[in-house]
Amino acid sequence: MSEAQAPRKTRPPYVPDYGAEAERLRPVELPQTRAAYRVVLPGVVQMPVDTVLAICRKSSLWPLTFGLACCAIEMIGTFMSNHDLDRFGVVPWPSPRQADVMIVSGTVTKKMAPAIKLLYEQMPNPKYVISMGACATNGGPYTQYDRVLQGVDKIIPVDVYIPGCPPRPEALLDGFLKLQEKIMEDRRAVG
Amino acid sequence: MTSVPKQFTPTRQVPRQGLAEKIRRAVPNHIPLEFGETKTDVDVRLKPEHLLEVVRVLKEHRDLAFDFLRNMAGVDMQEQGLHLKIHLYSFKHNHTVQLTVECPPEEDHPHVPSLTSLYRAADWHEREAAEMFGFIFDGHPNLKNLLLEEDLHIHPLLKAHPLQEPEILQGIEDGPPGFPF
Amino acid sequence: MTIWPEEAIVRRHGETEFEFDTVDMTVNVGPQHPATHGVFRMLLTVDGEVVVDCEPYIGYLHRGLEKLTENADYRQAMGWWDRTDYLAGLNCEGAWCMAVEKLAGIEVPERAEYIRVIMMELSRINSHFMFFGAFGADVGSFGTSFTYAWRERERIYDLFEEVAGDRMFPTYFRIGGVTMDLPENFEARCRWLLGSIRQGLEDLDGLLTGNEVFVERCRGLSPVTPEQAINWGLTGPLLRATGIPWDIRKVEPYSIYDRLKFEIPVGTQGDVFDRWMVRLAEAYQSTKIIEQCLDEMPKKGLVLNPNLPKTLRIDSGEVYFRTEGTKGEYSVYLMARGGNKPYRAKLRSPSFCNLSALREMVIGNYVADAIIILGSLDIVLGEVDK
Repeated sequence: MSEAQAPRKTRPPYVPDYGAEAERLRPVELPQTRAAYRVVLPGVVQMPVDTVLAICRKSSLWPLTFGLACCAIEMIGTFMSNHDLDRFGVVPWPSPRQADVMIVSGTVTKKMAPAIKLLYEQMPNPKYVISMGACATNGGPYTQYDRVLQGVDKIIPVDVYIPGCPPRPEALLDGFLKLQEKIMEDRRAVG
Repeated sequence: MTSVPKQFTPTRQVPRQGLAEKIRRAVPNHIPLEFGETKTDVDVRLKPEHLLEVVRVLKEHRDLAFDFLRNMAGVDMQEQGLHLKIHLYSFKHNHTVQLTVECPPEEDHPHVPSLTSLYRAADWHEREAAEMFGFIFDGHPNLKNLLLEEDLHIHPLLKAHPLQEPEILQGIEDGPPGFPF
Repeated sequence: MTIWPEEAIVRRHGETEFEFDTVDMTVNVGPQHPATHGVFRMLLTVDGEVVVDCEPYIGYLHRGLEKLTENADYRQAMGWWDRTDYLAGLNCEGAWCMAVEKLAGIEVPERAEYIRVIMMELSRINSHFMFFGAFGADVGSFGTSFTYAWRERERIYDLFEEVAGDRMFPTYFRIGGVTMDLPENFEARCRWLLGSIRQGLEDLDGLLTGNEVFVERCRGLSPVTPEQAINWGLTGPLLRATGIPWDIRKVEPYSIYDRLKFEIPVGTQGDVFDRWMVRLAEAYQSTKIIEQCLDEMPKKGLVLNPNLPKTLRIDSGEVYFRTEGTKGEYSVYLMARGGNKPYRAKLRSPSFCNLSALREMVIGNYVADAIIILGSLDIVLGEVDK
């Protein structure tokens, strides 16, 4: 650029050069639909209330940090920077009174079962349970020992089951996304 | 730090030649002992009533100096009764011994003297052996259940205690999973 | 107002200018708690803020390792054993495989031994990083130390996945060697990873060790003398922090550790700060071990004993195989009495034995310090509850 010209204040818009595939790849310009109210009051969104509530609930799920065994390590790994769960609004919270979802990660023994039931009952509605790993689903590799509870769904209702021993952090992310879909689907039912 | 050597000479095989003779010389002759060998240690078999005296000798004798309790494991040898395996280690001489306490087969709940007066580490090992096999340790300050619930009186590691069946859900018609060896 | 029975009340005079009676309070640090590392419960009896009595309750994760091992083949049982110390799965797999090999008299090819040592030391570094992260969280840097620690842990997990297939419990070891050989770019990847681990150790060191709050909280907290440590049955970094240079890899060496040169870091007082420093130095020594293995490893060779029987049957024998686990002495007592299943397999876990000494260490300190002492023991509940 020659110095004699006045310095540019704005950049020219970037138009990518598609070459041979130009017709196929150029983005399609959608027609702008402007309803009357959007012209009068721009920035207003119209949505049913249950959808709004469901979106709020699914976007801010606070799990109770309930790591029992090995799956807890993968759960902590999912909260960490590499497979960040914070971008989904998920903040691990130690107190059951303010938690939304309980991730049961690890083997549930019969000695621990009353504590789990108590924690579940201490959580306020609406609450969800994710059963993470094979042990919480049906006892896992330890299912034949008689002090092991064969699945946490024998004492509390479970919404999402995540298989694996332990499930990868991406699997837990997938479980959260499925739970979010479930919350959206159930939006008419939840009060 | 009186009796702890600053350097430990690493050896491939922990020296155990002569350990059996040293133990036999140190322990008074009226106590019957039988000696054997496992793949890693010297094995000393004895009866429960002599246990406390033998362990005291092992701990306090100058050439033996077993000051560290490594492990206590019960074994259910069905017809031969319950055995208790104790592993001791000496920091001074760098040798390990395995004691096998052979309890008589008729007793369901054999009495074994507790080693908590000699080693504080024996506390939890004895509680676990008691609840898993049914030993009763005389002289233990707090013989409650450790790993199982407090009011549960079962002994899971006995051979007679069964496993629980895995739950067969619908859709698996052939039976429980696993390859029959 | 509850009427307490007279025997249950311990009356104490407060140490103020006003003489009044106080009652001890029971605080339950329950099985679900952000600071207990896993499902561990302790009942603290506190007089004000000072802990007067502590009763630990374990068994909330008792999954029946020993009973299940008696009902499974020698090779199948490894799947439960590597979930005992779930922070360092390969270390436990190594201990089980080596114990069975000792019992059955099976030789392991040399290249497999070197691969095993590399994997086991990487697991040890993995476990120590978890300690750094969790202990930093206990002391007060709530999430920062965790995120620092997890950066390196994820990289180590990536390496495990490349080599063995799974992140945490790859069941990569077999009785008689390892499953498959290393990939071609392993050496370059591993050296890069070692550099990254050293950088991570320096970052954690810089974050916490010189931090005034950290030093004030940890220095002089619950010192342990060597005689006490031996009587209580402590092993591992807790014993080395008291001053005794005892490491099973040097004293009763197994595998190829007698050919490797490394140092044993030792503390002075046995307090919480010494335990932190010992673990930091140990992680650094592990990187040196891995480098030596990469240099000395035979470039080609078998990785699995070719003469293994189809079903491993052992007629008789007992073995007490001790290894240096990440937390202390991780030993396997194995007895065989015919057949293809072990007759009795007992795990002597370091966390179980270290945890039994918790009560003596905690009494006389504040409640917040009790949490730090529990964190410095570095327990993993899979080992404690078996």
